[in-house]
Amino acid sequence: MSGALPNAALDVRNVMWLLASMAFVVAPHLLRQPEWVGAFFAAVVSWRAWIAWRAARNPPRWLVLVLTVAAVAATLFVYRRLTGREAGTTLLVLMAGMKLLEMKTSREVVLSIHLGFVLVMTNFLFSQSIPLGFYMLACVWLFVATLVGYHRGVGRTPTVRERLVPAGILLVQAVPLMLVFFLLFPRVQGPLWAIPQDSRAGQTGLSDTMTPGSIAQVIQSEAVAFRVQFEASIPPYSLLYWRGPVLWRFDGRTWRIPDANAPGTLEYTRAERPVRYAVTVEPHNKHWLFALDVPAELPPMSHVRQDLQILSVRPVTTRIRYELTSYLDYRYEQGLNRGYRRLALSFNENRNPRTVALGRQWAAESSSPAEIVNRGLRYLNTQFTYTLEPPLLTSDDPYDEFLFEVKRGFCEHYAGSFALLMRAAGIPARVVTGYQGGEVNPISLELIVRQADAHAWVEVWMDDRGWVRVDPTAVVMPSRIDNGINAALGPIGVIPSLIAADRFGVLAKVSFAWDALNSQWNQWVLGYNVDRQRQFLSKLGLELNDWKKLALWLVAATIAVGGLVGLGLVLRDLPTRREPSVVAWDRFCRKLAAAGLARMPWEGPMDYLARIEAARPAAAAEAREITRRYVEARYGDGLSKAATRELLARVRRFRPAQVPGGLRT
Amino acid sequence: MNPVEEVVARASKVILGKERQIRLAMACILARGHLLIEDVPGVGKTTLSQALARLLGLEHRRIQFTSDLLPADVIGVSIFDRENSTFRFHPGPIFSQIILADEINRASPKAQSALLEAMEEHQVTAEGETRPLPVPFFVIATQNPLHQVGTFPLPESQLDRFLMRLRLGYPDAKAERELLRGEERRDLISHLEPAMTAAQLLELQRSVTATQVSDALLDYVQALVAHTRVSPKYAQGLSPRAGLAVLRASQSWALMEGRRQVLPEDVQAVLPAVVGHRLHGTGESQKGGFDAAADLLTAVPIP
Repeated sequence: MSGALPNAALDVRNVMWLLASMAFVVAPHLLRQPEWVGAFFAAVVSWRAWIAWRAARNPPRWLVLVLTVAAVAATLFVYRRLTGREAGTTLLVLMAGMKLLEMKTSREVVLSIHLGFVLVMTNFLFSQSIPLGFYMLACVWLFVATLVGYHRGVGRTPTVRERLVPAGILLVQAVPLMLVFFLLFPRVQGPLWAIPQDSRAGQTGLSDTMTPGSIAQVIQSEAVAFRVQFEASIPPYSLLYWRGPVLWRFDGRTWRIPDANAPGTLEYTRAERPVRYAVTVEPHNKHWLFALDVPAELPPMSHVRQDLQILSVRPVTTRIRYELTSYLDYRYEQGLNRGYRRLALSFNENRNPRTVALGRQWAAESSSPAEIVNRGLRYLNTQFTYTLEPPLLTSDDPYDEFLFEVKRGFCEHYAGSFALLMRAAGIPARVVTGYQGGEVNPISLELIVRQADAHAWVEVWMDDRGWVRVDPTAVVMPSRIDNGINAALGPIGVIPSLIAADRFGVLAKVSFAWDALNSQWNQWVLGYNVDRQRQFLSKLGLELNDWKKLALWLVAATIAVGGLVGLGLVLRDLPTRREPSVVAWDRFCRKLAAAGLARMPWEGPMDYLARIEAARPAAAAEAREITRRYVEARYGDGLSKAATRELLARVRRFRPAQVPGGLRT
Repeated sequence: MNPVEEVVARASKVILGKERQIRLAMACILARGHLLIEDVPGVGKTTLSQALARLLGLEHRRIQFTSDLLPADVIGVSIFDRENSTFRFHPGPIFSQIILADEINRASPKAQSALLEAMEEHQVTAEGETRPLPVPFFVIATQNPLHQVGTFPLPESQLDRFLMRLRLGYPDAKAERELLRGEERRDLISHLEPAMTAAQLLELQRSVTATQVSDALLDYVQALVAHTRVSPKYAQGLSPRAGLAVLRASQSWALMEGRRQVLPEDVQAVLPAVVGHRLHGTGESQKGGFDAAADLLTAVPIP
């Protein structure tokens, strides 16, 4: 019993809660960071847990210092810097661990908990998905629960329920303020800092080079490239060509974008079947924007090349949404001047001799370009097989190897070799990469275009028709174009296989519902930008066009909402109706306080009276009468109505003499 | 002069300068609670308890607790009676109206619990037979502070059975001078005449429970108790039994003040003595019970 009672803040269970919360909040970071960071953090947390469990000593100061220096040095070594998103969070995680280790006083516990809240925030620099949002909400809950436990005393560490319930109530009370901040906080045009690149951002299905045969297996990513909401019905699959980089330069193996690409114009000699739609592009860190062939207008902040590829002025680092109209039935006859014509006909004479010879043979035997094109398509139609796992093409003449030996490949092989055949036959040709088709979400009726829908096709120039799209893959494997890649090849990956095996369609429905939810989240939560904010507020009748007005409204709304919540809490704790005697007594005490003789909050009426009698003999007699009645009302039998009225009257008349200075208590 | 004031006045002549402690002790007895007096040896613990026993006119016995005291020394033993060939129970010192348990923390826990069980149950079970204790029945126990050598600290559950714990403290200079000048204290005690009868005492005890307790006062007692349960300054909150003890002692104090109704001042007067042995401060300060109780008084406003 005489043993030292531990510091309440460092009670074992409180420390364990803090450690657990920290581990939870840091876990997503550790998945991204080098293994040694995780190992270090785990070691530090276990060490701290051991210290708390065995009431052992904290590590000596010099050791903490050495470890800190080592952690900073290691971060510097790995990232070559201490700032920036990755290095910064790594350093923060390491330092949070060190703080846990040296934590000795209550102040440091509070500091660690607040550090935890900062760590919650840093997670959103990497991802802003719904699951992470919920996970971080849970983390905040845990930290608040830790804080709740810390504010209780030792020996009375609250149970899990006693922590989580008040913490939950606190969070719910914060919801109105959260909404006010979300809706009214002035939005900045463009990102404030480098916004999360979700892991998908790096692995787009597109690139600006194409080398058929260089990879043996296409990794089919289910990641969403972009989503499209059509205003009217969705056009047929065979017309859903989403243009990406256009490859002109060819060295015998690899197709590349041209070095110089002149600006283009959106002028068509024929433009019919307009469709209107909105595209929401996932961030991919490149400049590409996607439109159906051919766009009638440009998205904001973008320009178009003469080969109709649309490029954003800034790299697409955040999810963006734009509305467009495209003409499905078109004739595009722009942009083939002499320089580009030469580029569209060039190939390496020393490579792929058999392919080149075949092209030239067709040219010699045919009367019109259209006939050559048809002959090419017929040729591919005969003995070729579509596969996503083709053998590697290792020879110096990969297109000869493909066309005459292997005869198995996917869109890159067909587009590349077809373009080469056309060039050899004297028809200007280029390879167009992009996406084809997509998948319709039956719940939101959106078209979801995934990285797996990446595609390559060919455009050939006909002097009388301009650029004409030819898709050799469609000849080899018509279902790839008509129904989408999933239908053609069967599902890809584990989840889609499950979905395919799901006879009742439940999983498919869940999957589509999840995607629809994500889309709404992207549009309304993450995509709540300047324009949407303005739109939303004008619906409420608020025309707030500049951020200063918005900030004023934010402050006003914060005060209003905070005040309302606070008032609610105060009203809840107020007794419903105060007894008249208490009202009278309070007034009596206030009068005396004004006269320099305030009642202490814990001072009983008789003690107070004794003090009044000593300090204000003149008022003593009246004070005695009032106190006697108050005591009778409050602690005795109570007063009759008349007596209560008399008490109130006496208090009203009561005038204690003011004594200047000094004698306050 | 009413008998209570008489007891206080006469006792004050024996224990000099300790009127407040004597009043608290009296309040404790009127509230039918057991009393624990804790202080260093030689400040008059035993003298106070003996003086009270004599002044109340009750039959009293003293048990000196030592480390080799056995439960049977407290409760009594059965001895074989040759004439009747039966066992006959010889009641121990516990069968009297006032027990003076001297230096209770010197005895082993086994002997302590024999006494403390009797305190709670007001009856004694020995050799399978339950025997009631006389009415009224009080224990006035004394103990040395815990850091003294050779003590067995009472566990908290048993401390809880004492309504009040008092500390006498050193006398002030004037009282000490008088003490040094005056007669032998033991002689004074032996000359003390009872100031009230047992019947008067029982009557007064009944009046205690009849004092008026308003809702406002219960609010105050509950606020005090609740504060100890939520404030991080206390290692453990007060139990409902402690709250009840505060109320009974306050009633008793109000009666001694000559009032029919209990006021917050009465609660404040008895609170340190009633909760002092049930509270422990936490944190760096680790205040003892009395200081923790004093803090409690200024921390809770009167509703």
